[in-house]
Amino acid sequence: MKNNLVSLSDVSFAYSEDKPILKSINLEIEQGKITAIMGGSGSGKTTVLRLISGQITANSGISRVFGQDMANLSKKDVLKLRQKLGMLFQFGALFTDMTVAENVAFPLIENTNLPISIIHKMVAMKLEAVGLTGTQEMAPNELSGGMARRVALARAIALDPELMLYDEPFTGLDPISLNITAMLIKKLNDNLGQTAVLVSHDIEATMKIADYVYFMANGEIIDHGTPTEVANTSNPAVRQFIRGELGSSFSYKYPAKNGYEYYLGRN
Amino acid sequence: MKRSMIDFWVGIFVLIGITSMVFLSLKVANITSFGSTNNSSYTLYANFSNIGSLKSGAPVKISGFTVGRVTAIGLNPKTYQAQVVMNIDNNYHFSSDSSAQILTTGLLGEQYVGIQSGADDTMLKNNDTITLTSSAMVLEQLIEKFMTNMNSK
Amino acid sequence: MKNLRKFVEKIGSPFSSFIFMLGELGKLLSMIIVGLGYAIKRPHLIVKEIFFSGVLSILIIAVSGWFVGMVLGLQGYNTLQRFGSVSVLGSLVALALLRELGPVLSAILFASRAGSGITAEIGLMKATEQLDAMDVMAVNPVKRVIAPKFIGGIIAVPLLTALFDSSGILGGHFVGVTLLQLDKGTFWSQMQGSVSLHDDVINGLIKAAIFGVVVSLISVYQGLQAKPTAEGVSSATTRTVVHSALAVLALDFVLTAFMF
Repeated sequence: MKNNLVSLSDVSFAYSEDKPILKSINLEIEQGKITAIMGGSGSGKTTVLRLISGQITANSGISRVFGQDMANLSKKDVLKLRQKLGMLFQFGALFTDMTVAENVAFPLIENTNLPISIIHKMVAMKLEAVGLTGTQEMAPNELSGGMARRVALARAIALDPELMLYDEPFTGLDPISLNITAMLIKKLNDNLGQTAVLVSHDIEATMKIADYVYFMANGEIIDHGTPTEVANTSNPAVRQFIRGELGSSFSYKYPAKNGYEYYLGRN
Repeated sequence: MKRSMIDFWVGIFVLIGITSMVFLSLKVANITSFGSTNNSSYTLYANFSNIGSLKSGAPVKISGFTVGRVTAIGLNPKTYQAQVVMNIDNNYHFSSDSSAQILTTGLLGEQYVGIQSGADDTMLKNNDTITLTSSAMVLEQLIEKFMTNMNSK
Repeated sequence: MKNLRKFVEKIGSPFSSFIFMLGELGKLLSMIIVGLGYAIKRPHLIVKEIFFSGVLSILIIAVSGWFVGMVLGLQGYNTLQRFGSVSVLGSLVALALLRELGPVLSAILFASRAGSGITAEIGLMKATEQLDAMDVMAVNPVKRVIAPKFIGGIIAVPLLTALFDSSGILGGHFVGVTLLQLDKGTFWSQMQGSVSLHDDVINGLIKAAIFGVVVSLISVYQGLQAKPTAEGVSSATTRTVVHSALAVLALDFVLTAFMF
């Protein structure tokens, strides 16, 4: 298992003690593959991404990214590590006070000492890769949702990262934009050999492009395998999720809290 | 907005701010009259038995015309008199028998040092002391005097 | 007994949260100071912030100053007339503006005009994950976003205060000399006679600079603190204005006691 870019073993995480978000997660991400993490809202998928990017650190367990134990990294090492990974945020997270070209140039200007003429060329290249050459001088609020997502993708790949993290890349896109985005993710993976972690709850698009799928629910991994394996799984919760059925396995009721009862009892 | 446009407006803003500061220092605070170390002025001393509420920075006037400013006020520990240090414009010189008086603009206005020139031919030089002085008019003392006069009548 | 304890806790909790907030502000300030070098090396970022917080506040500051000066002139005239000392109207207007009204009102206007904008912008950047995105791109948002806004505020407030003072004095001059026919020479010479450059002008601007630090710090802090929702951002902007006004007024008392 040497060529695993990311490996989490027995990783737990909680913002506050009484509300665990991740419970003993075991997860391996193989180099050059697209690994998808699927699950309902609030299952802890995005938290896994934040662990990998070093925005948060695990409470227990070992998380290795690029073979380095995240718990032992200094702040400087984390910054160095982040230059090797790109992240696409849920709604793009473009900087609204900059133009499209400035957005794409941002990581290049901040993290390299390249002369401005080369940065110009690289920005043009990256925008061409996502098919948006003509948008350079536009402001992010002039772009459609799908275009903004692609600009954000161009920005995320500006430094040619070895590892790409996609946080809900398909949310809020029309079917065409969704397919374009999925195709781009696949293309980047094929052409550049980029490793990708894809967090999504869009079954169709994810199953199409992923090489390996993890299913999460309530902070635990309930199933994993290749898309075909997962599609024919016997796990009722996963089957329910894939088909979008209402049923007993996924509860949509949030349990009442003590505080709530306390207020009721007081009156 | 283009960066050059932003630069332009910020430049204008800074200019407005600095102009305002210059206006405040020159026109409002009158920085020019604070040239205490100015070469074209000399220092005179005067001892008063009561300076009232005279403050440093108060004008020194002759015939109502400002010729200098009070720069410091101290106490002579032997005579228990207040010593007033004045900076006088070099263009104006007074005879050595000039007298100094503490006067008030209006009934309740600020106090200043008034100088009356004498007739002597020798002039006061730098660091000389004006010996003929009369103290500030203190309202309480005036009223007291007035009352005792009334009573004795 | 239990109720008594609850009661004491209720009294205590605002104090402890206030002290907690002071600690957070101090932590943020130290992080910003670490980031100052980064921001100074990128002057265009600071210039842009001065544009948004300073240039766009010129009009409101100048107009407010003008009206405050006119009111001072009018009220001062009515009051001084009773004592027959309208001649000191100029120094009254100038001293009131330079020492107190200029710095305090400029800072409060700045908080509501620019500070709330800074809070909203940072809050929205946080809500739309822009700060996270920056962080993941190995760029510290405190250095890149917060520090320039902070420096911009510190530069803008004293300049705006000087503008407010000048505009107010001209407003007082307009009422006193142009409308009420006081002698122009008396107005200015009385003012010049009683206003000291160091005690009044410079101390007033030092006050303004300190207010600039406080208001800017509160603005960026509230932006970072804001819950990433529309409601969170809007209540954070409100808090910026309220906390800034309170902090400026309280601090003004302390500074006045020390300075004048």
